Amino acid sequence: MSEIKLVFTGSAGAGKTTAISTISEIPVINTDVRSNDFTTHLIRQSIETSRKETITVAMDYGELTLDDGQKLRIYGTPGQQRFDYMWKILIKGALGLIILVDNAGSDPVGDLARYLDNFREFIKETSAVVGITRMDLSPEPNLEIYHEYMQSHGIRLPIYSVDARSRDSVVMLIHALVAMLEYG
Amino acid sequence: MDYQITTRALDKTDNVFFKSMLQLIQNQLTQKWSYEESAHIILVDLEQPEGIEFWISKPRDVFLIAYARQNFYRAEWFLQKPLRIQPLLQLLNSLAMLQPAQLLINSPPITDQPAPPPESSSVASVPAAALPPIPSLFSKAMSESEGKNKNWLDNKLEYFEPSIYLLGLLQESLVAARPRRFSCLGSAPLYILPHENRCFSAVTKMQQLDPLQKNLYSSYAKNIKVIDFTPEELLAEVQKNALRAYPMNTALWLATLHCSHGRLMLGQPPDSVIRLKYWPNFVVLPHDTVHVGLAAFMLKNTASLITIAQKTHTTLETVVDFFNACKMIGLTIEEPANESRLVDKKIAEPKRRTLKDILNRLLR
Repeated sequence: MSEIKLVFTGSAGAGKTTAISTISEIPVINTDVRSNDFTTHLIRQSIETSRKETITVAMDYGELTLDDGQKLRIYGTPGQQRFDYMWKILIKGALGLIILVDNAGSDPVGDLARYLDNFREFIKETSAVVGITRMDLSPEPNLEIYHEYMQSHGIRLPIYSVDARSRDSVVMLIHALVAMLEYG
Repeated sequence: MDYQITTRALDKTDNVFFKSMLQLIQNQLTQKWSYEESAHIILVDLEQPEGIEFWISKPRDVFLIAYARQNFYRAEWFLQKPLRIQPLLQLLNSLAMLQPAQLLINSPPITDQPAPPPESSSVASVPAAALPPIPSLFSKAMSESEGKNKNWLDNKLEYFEPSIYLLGLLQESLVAARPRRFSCLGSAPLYILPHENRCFSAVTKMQQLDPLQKNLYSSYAKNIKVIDFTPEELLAEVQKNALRAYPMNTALWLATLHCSHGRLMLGQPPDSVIRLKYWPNFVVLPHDTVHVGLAAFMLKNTASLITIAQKTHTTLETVVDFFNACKMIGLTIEEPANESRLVDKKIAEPKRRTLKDILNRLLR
């Protein structure tokens, strides 16, 4: 049997590492570095260092053992576009994709658009689910805006407001993803 | 053979009536029945909190008969209120036909899921087990050809009229923009504030309503006490009772799910094809696992209710209830019957198993 994997992607600071850690039975292996180590203007612009001290530059990795002993491998992509060469490597052969968008970011709908576009072929062939994080801190844009965006682009995917720290939220996303893979 | 029966949670008048009626019908019964303070066969009033609690506690080594106006708990043995001689006679004579072992040792299946109201009062008053089994809507639908199915729902289903339930009261209050409190026996009241599109309840987890709470959402309007408030008074109540806020859609969704009982809404064309405009926000819409599968199918496919039931291996009643709830909060798009569009997607069995394994592992 080939590798069983799920991939979390999304904007920097959206909570991919945190989300993976809520369901992984091993401590998440990551290649996070302190964002203060990055000095480029681009990265300083894209990350609010005050609220996220580390960013993922390569990938996150978590695991979950299924009842038959197989391992579900859970990967998180690096958030920055400059590392997008990793995205194609990680998504290859994945069961499905979970896109997390930081609603407190500077252009969350634009972020969603970018990830939907980058993974367009994969989503067409399999499926994806979208989780909007940090809506408690930044209620706008609301879910209606995201729905409108997706509708206007003919994209029909589940979308939730989620708390990446909550296992229930992450399980809800995966539940929707599994349903889309089976029935959608 | 002598049979003994007792009652649980019946009010004083009903209890006196029951005992008197039992005496009155003795010579028409096929076996001798007597009322005892303690007995294996128990008539339980499911409109009383004590009766509901007793019922859902699933007591062992007793034989329970539900007593209520409607058979909301899908009891196998049911006596409809108010007490009448003929239904009681039928019930006791039917029970006497069971093997003693069945009657005294095996408890009837108990479920805390409310059931559809009976089709007519004459059916309701007869013990359910004495009736021939009614094929499920889904198996019936599956047995018919697509062509014959076209008007099947129209011919076979009772329609669902929201106005006679809590749902109708909520709709009316929203239209009139009236802040109100709705309550019924044993349930935490529901407060609504239409101009803020919010409702309030003491219930902390709408996702896990207990049977008493479900009772409010499935109640007939005539059994619900309604109190008008000013917005200020209502918010003061909210603060005083530390109530939790929910979107108005949560109340509308719950009220629809719990009272539609597999029936289409009045005026709903049964043959239209349907899809979801967008994904239901299950964070605030209490749901079962099956609803997530239905949402996934209905998000990507435009199909009739019967097709949805067939493709998702779900009962037609569940599909209709889910559709009604989605329609109530504006999530559905309906198109003419000839606009059906199904995504041709097949999933390999090993992959399906893996997905199920993942879900089982996570939901455990």
